[in-house]
Amino acid sequence: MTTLNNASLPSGRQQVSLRKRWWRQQTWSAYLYMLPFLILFTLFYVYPIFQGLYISLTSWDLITPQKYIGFQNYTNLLSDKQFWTTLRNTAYFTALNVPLAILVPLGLALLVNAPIRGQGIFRTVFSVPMMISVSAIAIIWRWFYDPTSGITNYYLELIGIQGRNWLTDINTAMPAIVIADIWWRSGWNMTLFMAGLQEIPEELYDAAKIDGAGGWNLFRYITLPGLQPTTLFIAVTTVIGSFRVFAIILQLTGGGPFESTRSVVQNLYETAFQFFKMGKASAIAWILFAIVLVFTILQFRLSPNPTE
Amino acid sequence: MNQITATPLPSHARRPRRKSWAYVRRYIALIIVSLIWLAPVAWLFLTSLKPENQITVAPPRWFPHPLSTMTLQNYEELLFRLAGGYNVPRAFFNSMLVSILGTFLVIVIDVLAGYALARMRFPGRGLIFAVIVSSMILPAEVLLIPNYITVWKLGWLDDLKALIAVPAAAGFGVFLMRQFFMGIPTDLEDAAQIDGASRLDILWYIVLPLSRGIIATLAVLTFLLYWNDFVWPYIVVNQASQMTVPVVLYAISGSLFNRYGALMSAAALAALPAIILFMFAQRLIIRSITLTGIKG
Repeated sequence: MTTLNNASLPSGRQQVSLRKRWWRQQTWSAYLYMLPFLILFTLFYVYPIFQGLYISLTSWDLITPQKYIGFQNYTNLLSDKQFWTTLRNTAYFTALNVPLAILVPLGLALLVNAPIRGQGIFRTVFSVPMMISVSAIAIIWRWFYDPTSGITNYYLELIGIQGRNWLTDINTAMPAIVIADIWWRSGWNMTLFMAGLQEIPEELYDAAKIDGAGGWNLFRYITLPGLQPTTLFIAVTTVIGSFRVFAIILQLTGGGPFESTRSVVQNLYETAFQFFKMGKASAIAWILFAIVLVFTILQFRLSPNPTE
Repeated sequence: MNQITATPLPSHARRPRRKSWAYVRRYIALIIVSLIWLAPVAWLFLTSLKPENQITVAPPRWFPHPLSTMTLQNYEELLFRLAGGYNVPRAFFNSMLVSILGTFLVIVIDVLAGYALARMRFPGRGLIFAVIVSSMILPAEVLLIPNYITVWKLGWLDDLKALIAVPAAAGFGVFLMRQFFMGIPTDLEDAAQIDGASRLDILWYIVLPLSRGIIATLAVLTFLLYWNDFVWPYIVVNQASQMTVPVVLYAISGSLFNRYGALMSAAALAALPAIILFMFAQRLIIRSITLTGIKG
């Protein structure tokens, strides 16, 4: 291939100038190819980062002129009771959600990832919920949890568990949301786990079996270490996703009862689009980003290096 | 990437020689878990087909009873009357329009940009790629307020343009396309270039035919993102006539809060296109996850 290339090009000085011209052309056409994307990306992704940072340093209601107030929005938030409540609620959601959002999909992946008939059908079954929009999910689950006409209480009472109004009880509202969320989104992490499982070389299992390793040991010493990079990725993205929780809570409980499920992003949304405190809301967004970033870095630091 | 395609997929490669007890046990477990997993979706679709007087009965019944009472009256009511003051067919039209145009836009701009990043050399290429990759970890909430203000200044509030253009700015598709193009051997393209083909010819006649699978994947994922997007349309659109399906669903779930028949048929209609699309494209999506190595 290289010889062919050289043969077809003119040699010496001529080649240098031709090359230069080709390079210039190439540069210009490359920018033309990039342009449509770059316009949108700059307008709606890069510029908003700087604009958002600036807005967070101002006091602005979209009507009266924007006023620069330095870091006041941030310092105010530190003593804002409502902000801490939503942060605590979000942390609680994350603490409940992350372990389940890793373990349940892992279980599903291990169950499905075997040489069995109808594997594709089972995989589809577990993936269907994640294709449904949050609004439809909320409609289903609000009814499930409904104390008078919902089916959850009916079946629980059949096995002797006292029914209640799951979404308006301060003790059960958040766990009930987490259950709906796990059901909704497990398909994605399961798919990632399955991709991870298929990358573990079969020979490792064969070798271990010859050495007499049984089911649990195979899982403990081959499957788990083999899934380590996948698990790290899933843990990071799930933590990020959990801190950003909003729509499903908004639609299941609206943040209640007594603000016990109100999340950081709901607070952000209401601050910006109901009370029109754009500066304060932007500061909330940046604090959220900072928290997410710290957790991401921590997870990468704390997880053992995958040995190549 | 190449190693992955080279390793055989264990699940398909090896069939069990004898159906052992472990096999049966796993099968039973799978069936039970699947039934639990399917229950909410089944409930959604089955309820949407029940006549009004069977919808909230105790004890709950899963199927219309007798089966011949199965009816489409919930759908009729939803589609041909204004459900809770909202125009549901209009919302479907809006959602389809936004999802189709948005997907088309994303494919065009992401293929062009991904190709330039993979195959052409130009000053700033490394920087642009680095910015695109790092943009993918940015939580969308950081962009919400400034983008709302930009859209407001452009006069695009309550305008479907805002619902199409803003989500199209995400860098994921460019990343996906670039990763794929990097993996195609350049021999064919080099040969075509020597024969005097232009860049655009090469892209159109050589690269795109090789990329049908990945483009279909990106199209399906993008369509689903647009179709199910809730937060951004919820913020930008207030006028009922411009609402998309998820926003209208949320609105009518308040105004029709105990009319479960109508609500279930609305949710079923919203879910159906996405589920059908996914069933067709599932294999593609799974393959592209392995391809990009996005799980680490």
